[in-house]
Amino acid sequence: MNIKLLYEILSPQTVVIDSATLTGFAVDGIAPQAVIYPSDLSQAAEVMKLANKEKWAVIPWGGGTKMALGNLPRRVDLVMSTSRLDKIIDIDVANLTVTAQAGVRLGDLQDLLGGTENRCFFPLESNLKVQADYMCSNRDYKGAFLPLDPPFSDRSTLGGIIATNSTGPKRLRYGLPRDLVLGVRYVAPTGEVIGMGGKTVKNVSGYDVSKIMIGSLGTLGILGDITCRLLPLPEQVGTVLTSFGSLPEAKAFADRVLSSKLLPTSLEILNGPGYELAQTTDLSVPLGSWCVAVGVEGFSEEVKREIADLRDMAHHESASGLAELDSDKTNAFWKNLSDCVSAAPSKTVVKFKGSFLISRYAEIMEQWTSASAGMRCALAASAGLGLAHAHIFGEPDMDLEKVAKMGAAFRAVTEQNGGSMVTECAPPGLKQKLDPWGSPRGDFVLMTKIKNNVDPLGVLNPGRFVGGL
Amino acid sequence: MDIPTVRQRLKEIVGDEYVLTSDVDLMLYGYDAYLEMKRPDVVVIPDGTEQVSRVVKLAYEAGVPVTVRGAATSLSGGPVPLKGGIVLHVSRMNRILEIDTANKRATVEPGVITLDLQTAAAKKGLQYAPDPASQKTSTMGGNIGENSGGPHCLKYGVTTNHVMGLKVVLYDGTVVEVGGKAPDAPGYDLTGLLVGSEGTLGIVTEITVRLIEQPEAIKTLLSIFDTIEDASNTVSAIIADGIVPATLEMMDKLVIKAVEESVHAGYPLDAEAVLIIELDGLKDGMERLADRITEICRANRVREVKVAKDDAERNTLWTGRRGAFGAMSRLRPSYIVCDGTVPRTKLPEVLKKVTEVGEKYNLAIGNVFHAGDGNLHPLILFDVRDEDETGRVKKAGTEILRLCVDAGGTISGEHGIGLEKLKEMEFIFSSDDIAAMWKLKNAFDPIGQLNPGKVLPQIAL
Repeated sequence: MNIKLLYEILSPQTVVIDSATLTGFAVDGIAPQAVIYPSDLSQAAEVMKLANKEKWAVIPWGGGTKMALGNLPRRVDLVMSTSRLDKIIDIDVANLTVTAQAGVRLGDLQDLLGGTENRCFFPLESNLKVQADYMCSNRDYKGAFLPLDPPFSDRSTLGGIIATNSTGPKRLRYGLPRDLVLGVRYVAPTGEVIGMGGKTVKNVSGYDVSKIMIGSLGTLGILGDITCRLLPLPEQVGTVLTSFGSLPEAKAFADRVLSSKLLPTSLEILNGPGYELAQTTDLSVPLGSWCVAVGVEGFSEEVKREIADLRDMAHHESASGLAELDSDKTNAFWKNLSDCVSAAPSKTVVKFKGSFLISRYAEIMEQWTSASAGMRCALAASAGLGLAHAHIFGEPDMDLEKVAKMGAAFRAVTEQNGGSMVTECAPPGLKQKLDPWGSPRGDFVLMTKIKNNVDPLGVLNPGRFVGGL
Repeated sequence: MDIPTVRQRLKEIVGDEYVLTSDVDLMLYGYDAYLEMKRPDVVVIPDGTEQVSRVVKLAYEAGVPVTVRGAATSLSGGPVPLKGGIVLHVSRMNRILEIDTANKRATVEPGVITLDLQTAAAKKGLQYAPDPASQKTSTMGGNIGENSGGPHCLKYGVTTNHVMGLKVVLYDGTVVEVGGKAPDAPGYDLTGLLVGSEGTLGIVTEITVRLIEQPEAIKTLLSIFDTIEDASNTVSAIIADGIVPATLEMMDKLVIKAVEESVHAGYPLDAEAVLIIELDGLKDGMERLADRITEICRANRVREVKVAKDDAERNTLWTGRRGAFGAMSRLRPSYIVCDGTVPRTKLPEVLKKVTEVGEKYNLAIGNVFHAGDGNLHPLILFDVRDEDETGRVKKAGTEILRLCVDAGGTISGEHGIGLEKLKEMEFIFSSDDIAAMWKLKNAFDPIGQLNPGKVLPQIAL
């Protein structure tokens, strides 16, 4: 690889080749030959044109929190970091939209959105041009937020979250990236800068290309600018924690909540180790029992009513324990639960995500529990969403054979319940024993054609996505 | 293969009575609610995925294009068979296959009328949220094709936000399933790409949507304004205040008058604009929210705020809104609707410019639209038989879309590009953008078999 070619596009200090850095940016243990930091989309586009000419494999890199997701890469030549694409282009507080570059960290963005002072913003006049001078909002601004709560919100970037379709418990109320992303500007694998969608909440002009960029793991383009819709900050937040001696009891409570008129923000069913991830002592969840955590947000009257109803329902379903979290504790609880693995940096972490018919969460929890017998496995099911997560924290010499077997059993259970399972985080050795994505389905032919049409030389993230795309 | 052979082979697939070839039939299936018309060579009405697949495979072998058609309420020319060939009508595929209350999903065939699904879901205590104004007539297949909106999309999102999976027949007759009842199938979100692709990527034969719980309480307000500017300022003031109602709909004087003459919804004839504001959700706090909205309306010089006292009053208010397009069509023989969308804060200035465009071309323009979404619907009235007037209407329509784009908006919020807005695509997309869309089209349909001539303008690739 002729690194010098990069210097025609990038300044020397944004092309890093020292071995310590390269090791830090290894993908599944494979280090790149250079890490580059483009400062705008046209630089990134030039690099992609060069990569096509030189047949380099380019790996986009945001906050790095999801780099353990996916198949082992076929090749790693160049890591393209988005950390200098960190500008917030437009916060339109009255219109409730934000446009920011892919390298902006979600936590920073939320801090900025959540403030209440009237702020200035750069109005994005159209998809094609970005206006240079800024203007100030003359309205009272009450604060807004981007309703996404993926893991590691402090470190994860907007681009990474969108590229991996990363979600958290609040998805129950607020939806997922496909409900929130209004437009994207990205660098195509062949080096064109493409703009799709816009900043209106309704838009059916041309194909909805933003949708296939979401969750495509950087195999169809490098996300540059992203426009999302926002919501006003809720007046109040709260959480009700309940514990139950058995899974059927926990399910009875959860089902009661989900078929009521209440509009919980999140509802998670946690086993003992799962509850421990939230690092709270407000409730005791003894081994073998289950916690149901329900988050509520909204106008103060709504929250008050919901908490009262939740307490009644928990009593009615004979909860063995009950605690209520105020707003500070609520925010910490859900953030810890979402970020769970950050507490154990020395451990080897394996994370599975199952998706299935929404009514089947108790079957999944039950069968995952028996499949993981003898292993400390933190389980969380998003009842109402049809999603569940399992975390296994092991020592570096973890028995991968055993974990792979367990993962295969987990996958069989989710598939029997109409869904699929993805390994969200695993050491490379496990990926060799258990396909991180599972077998491709009938629509894989179309996915292959799309990838081939968009990235004919396969330069972007080769091999890492479903079926080795 | 010549056309008589194609017709004969189609009869072998679906039976004689479901292949239409008379002059009248070919004319009837050649247009939608837009202005253009083109006769197909044959109309076929298959029943079920297998028949659709065989029809499309035949068309592929014969080299004949296929244009899929629902109720043809499309306002952008989507179902018009521009290159002739086969019109594939989905009216027989009108079964609700399943309402799965435990998993909150419904699976329907594409010919199911939107309202029929809503009614069936309501019987089980659930709701299908998207509510296009044409819901009494429009089909689910058409809603998928256009990614339809509707008043309640302000809060609940448009059609695509509710579609979980599709069964699709591809250009050569292959059947593929994308997405499903469970969330997050690994791989590209092909469902998301297919919704809104106007029948150019595949023909949908089964649709799985998500259902949600019905709200506990609903409150509907009618705010009456003496200027359209006050009404549109109220819209962005409500959103900026941190309130996202279920709907925020606006009608101007011309529309109010037409609606009153047609359905007597109780709108005041001398008002310049009315807003229909609906709140839904838990009953707790709703009173305070309604008071706050009333306060915002007052700060923007509202004349009066009426609250619907019961379901009957609420229904009357909505009957007026839903019947607005129909009511407008009583005034002149023809109308077109410009579906431009702007960031909602730009509504006052854009509406003013729309009025100026009407004056410039000497055309009557009524406004009835999803104000909360910034989704304008200027309705331009005219007589299609008057060539000069029709010419002016088309110019005015393009000009209105141009000013929406200049205000940071786009050329279609929910009606689609069809054949109406092909040339306006370049207002918002560069040739690289359009080329990127062509690459996706070619991945699904490399020979341009399905609904040719729609959505994407021809460019040199």
